[in-house]
Amino acid sequence: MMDKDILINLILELAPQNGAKEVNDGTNIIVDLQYDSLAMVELLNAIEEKFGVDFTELPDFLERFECVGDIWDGIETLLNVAQ
Amino acid sequence: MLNNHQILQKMMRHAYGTVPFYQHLMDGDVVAESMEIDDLPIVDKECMVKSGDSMLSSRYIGKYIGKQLSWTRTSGSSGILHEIYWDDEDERKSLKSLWLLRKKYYGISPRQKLCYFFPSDIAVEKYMEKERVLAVSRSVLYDGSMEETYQKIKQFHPEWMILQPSIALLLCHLAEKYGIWNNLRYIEFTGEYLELPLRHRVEAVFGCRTANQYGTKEVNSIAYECPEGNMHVMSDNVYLETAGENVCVTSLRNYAMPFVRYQLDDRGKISRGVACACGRCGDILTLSAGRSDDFIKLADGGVMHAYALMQIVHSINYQYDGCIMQYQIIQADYDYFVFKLVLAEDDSEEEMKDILPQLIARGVDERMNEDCVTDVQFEEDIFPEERTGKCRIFRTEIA
Repeated sequence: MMDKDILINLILELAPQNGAKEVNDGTNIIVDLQYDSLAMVELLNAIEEKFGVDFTELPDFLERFECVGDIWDGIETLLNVAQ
Repeated sequence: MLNNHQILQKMMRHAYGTVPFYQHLMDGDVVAESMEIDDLPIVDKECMVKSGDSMLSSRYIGKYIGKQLSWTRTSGSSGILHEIYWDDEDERKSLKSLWLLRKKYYGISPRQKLCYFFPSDIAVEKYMEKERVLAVSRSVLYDGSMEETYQKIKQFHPEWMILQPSIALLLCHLAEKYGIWNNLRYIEFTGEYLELPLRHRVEAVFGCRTANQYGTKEVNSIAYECPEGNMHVMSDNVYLETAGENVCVTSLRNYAMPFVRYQLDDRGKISRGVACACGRCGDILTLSAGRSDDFIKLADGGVMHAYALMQIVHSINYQYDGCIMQYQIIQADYDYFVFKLVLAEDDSEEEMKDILPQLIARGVDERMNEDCVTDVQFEEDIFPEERTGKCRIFRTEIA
């Protein structure tokens, strides 16, 4: 499975409202998937564990964390830094 | 996307561009793009409190009027009371790093059952319980229901707790008497200076990990302790510096009520760019020791949490719209208390001077369950103690 598919599966799995099936780069997880603040924290934690990254190393991670495309960019940035 | 320095610059321009308090400091000049934070004045709580609503950003007046901002009142450790406003989304952002680090360091997530104590003037209920959270009113500290409360906590069996050190100590006494529950993993200390012996006692009694979290209502989390014992500055939430020995903080998140170069009551030093064994590299805060003295001494040798008397002032402020700007309580003898008050300078000041002595005396008698001598003194200012440079809300003169 591609890494980005893993992210999308996590987003769908942890979405407060089950039943969402379609997610793309432009999907806003707050507006489109009803993520509240606690669900977002859980998603952040899950991504960190799955990908072995640390979001606090991204200075602007709080600003990135709304659209799927931006979340993925953040993960890629952290993975590149780690390499 | 902005880095932390750019976010700081953005906050500086927002504060000095939209908040009347800061605009007055600059005589209406704007913050140039070339300006750094050192070019701006340091402000303290006293001058902010006296400014009243002019601390709010003009961009958030609509939300303020529409009661869409979250609100709290704080006194910190100095007894100077003021109101804090947050936009909900900004407040949530200010706490996200803390959640990430709780998980990373101590395995704590929002899904785990939590117990914490809240100020008694927030709600009438003694306990507020939802599926994963038990919130306990601090009124239990003085209304004789601590034992009942402990049983309730035990029944709820939280996996973690957020406690002031003085409350943790009270719970230790009860834990030794009634035992603990199985799945407590972590206690987070906040709100008071944490003395090492108290910490060791809590860890020994409850058999769990502990960590210290330093923050204020104005900016939320400022520093958080890693498993190596270092207080890492939450650099995505605040910019931290010192003015002399005093800690100064700039919120990177509170746009509704910005705090820029805001001098706190605490003293400490900041070590920049430290590579910690926990894996993080950044600024570390070391707070200076201050003697914690939060207990009223009783004639029978027992103690009562000083919050019992502090809450009298908080209730009066709630009822009379913040008439008391600063206060200090001194226990001169077992049944003799001095309340030093600085009142808000407004039309009701003289009326308050007539009403308050009786209100406070009644409150003291009720809390102490006996007739006490209560001396209410009205001051222009309450000055900090020379030794610590801090103004303690409560102190006892009983050895």
